[in-house]
Amino acid sequence: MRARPVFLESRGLLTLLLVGALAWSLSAVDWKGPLVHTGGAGSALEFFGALGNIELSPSFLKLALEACLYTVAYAVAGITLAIALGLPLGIIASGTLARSTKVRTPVVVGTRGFLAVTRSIHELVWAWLFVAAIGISPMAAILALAIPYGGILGRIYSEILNDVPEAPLRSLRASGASEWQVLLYGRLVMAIPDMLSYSFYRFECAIRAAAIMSFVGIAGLGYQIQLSLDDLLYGQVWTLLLFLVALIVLVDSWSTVVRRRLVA
Amino acid sequence: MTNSTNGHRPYPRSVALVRISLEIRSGERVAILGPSGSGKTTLLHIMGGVIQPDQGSILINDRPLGSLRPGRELASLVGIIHQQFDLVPHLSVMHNVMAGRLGQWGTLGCLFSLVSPRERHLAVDALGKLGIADKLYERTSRLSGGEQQRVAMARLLVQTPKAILADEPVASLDPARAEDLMCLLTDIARESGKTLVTSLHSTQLVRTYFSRAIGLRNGELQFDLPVDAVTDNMLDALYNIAGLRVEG
Repeated sequence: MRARPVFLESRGLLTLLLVGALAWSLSAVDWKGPLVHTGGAGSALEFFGALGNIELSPSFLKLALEACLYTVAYAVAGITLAIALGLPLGIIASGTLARSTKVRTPVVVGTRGFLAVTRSIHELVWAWLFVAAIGISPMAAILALAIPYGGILGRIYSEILNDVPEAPLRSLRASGASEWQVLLYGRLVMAIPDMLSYSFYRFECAIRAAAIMSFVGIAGLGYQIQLSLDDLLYGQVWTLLLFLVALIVLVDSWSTVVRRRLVA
Repeated sequence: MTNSTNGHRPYPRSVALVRISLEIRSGERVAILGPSGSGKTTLLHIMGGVIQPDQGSILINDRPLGSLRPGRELASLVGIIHQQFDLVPHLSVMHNVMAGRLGQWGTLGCLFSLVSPRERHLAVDALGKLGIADKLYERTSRLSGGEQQRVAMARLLVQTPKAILADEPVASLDPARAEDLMCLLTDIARESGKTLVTSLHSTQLVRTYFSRAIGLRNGELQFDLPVDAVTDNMLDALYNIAGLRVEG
């Protein structure tokens, strides 16, 4: 084997950089002063203490359930629109339909660039922009979810489509299939299980994001959490958090069931 | 049917061929022999229009391969079957067989067929001929290697090309199944007067099922003879590893 200086390898260099960054950030901490806010321990104790005092009155459970429905509704609308945006853009960005590299390169670079712009802005920033533009409305929250999520889905879809094994596609072509037919009959068919499981994961993210969209004023779990926090009713906060966890677990198991049926 | 290749090919991951000229007549059964990396797959891929040679030309029925429309026109003349990884594993057997008809269908037809397969009887007939009619609705990834190879052959039956190019179709099968499959393949070719060009390693199969043998080594043509004229010495020379002497 050829001996190579380890520090010249990119991985070694990256490690060095990261360790350096950590050391630098530690040097910025004021070690002499108190590290934790003095009243923090008391607040934390109070918050976790409320675990034994979770609010379970029927009227509050009904309120939490209603908040869940709102959050899920926004997440479903947002992710649906995101898939509708991401699927065609992802197919275009994969460059699989273009025949010549002359067409492919500008189309792929252009689409990827557009997707990068949409997802480099966080959904909360989009929400702020849309609220400024069209006012506080469910539409603002849904669009704020759909645009960055569409960008993320498009990017991932294009990569999944590109990573499909080539051999079956080659024999579809040999059987006389056009590029569109290869896409529909081979590429998408093989990519769909992975695309679906990633979309489900994004749906989970959309639920979390929809929950904290409360700051633009839309109803939902986040809004209720904010109200209960303001009143220091930690028991209610726990109830709402448990509902959020239950939602995520539910979506997760749903995705497992669907994926198991698709992947043999 | 004429296939003549006269090309060499510095192509990533495919072996370069050096000035090979061949003529294969309609209905002939030709075996391509040669050690791994000798250019058998490259030759088959060039003949099937999967890759283009840098130099030289391929004529099919006296027409340059490049002038044939890829898709429908080429697919009706030449069909290819590979060693493995040839089918879409997520689709049902029926859908994979019907892929042989894609050249005849439009894009919308193909989309509809994914939901509700068209011309289902063609798949049923083809699978029946290959003895796996009961696998029609099975998911292709659940089939054994030998069964998948039969599905690929059923797809060829549905595609009905004039010539079949098979790239080591039995390499991943045990000897009994290899013999069985080769028998089926040659039967199909004989019945409908198809041309069959196959690369393979078993000299015993070559002697039983083929009329002509082509030897390739390092991308060069070593021999092109009727099977009866191929001697053991020629085969030894073809597969001999340079510098390795087996004594005893």
